[in-house]
Amino acid sequence: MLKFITPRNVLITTGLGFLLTGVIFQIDSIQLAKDTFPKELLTQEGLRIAELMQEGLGTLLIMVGIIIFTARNIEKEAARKLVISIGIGSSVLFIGAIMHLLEDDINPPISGIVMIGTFILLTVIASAQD
Amino acid sequence: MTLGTLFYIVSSMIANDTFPEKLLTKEGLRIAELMQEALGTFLIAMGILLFSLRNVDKKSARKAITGVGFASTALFIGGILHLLKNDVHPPIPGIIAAGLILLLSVVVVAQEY
Repeated sequence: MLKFITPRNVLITTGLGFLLTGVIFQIDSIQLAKDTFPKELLTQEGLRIAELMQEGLGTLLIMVGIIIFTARNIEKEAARKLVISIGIGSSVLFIGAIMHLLEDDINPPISGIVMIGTFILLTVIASAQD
Repeated sequence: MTLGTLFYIVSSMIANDTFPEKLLTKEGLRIAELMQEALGTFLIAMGILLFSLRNVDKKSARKAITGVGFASTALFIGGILHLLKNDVHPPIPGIIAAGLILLLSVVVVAQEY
């Protein structure tokens, strides 16, 4: 089963994953803001800023998705390098989210953290394969 | 990566410059600060991605740069739309940077090797 986790397949999966998450951030920005921030911060102004920033974050996620997805057909060694860097980049996101969860100041979406964790696992497996 | 680090360090200053005063209550500013940090993390992650591709072969690099061009277009159009709507003021240097990256990627992809 693990042989299907090739660098190319990981690039397709992570690229589409980031792309879709970005679109969800754009479409469902208010609900995401309500789930993420504590109630005392969610005044009318706070909610508006959160909504705008979620859209900004969504654009960045779409950007990352496009970059990874367009690189899906690069040669194997380059793909492996990219997969390793996706793993490192995702680790930065993962650690940041876990720290926020532990500090309990905001609640980053658990589904997002699980997704990033899965990406890290996939990149480790894909880059370790011969 | 540098831009992402800047978003971390001067998050409240960027928030002050970006959003209109009526939104910048204590709660609004706190949310903006937290979200700027998240944006910063994503920028750093994206920087790591691109930096790791610096030594790939020419054909692969061209494909990656095509992706960067498409991605910058999304950022550029988003920034311009916000400027035109006049609801928020995305940092002009950021929009110029996205435009420049877009231009550079078009030039590089169009060149023959």
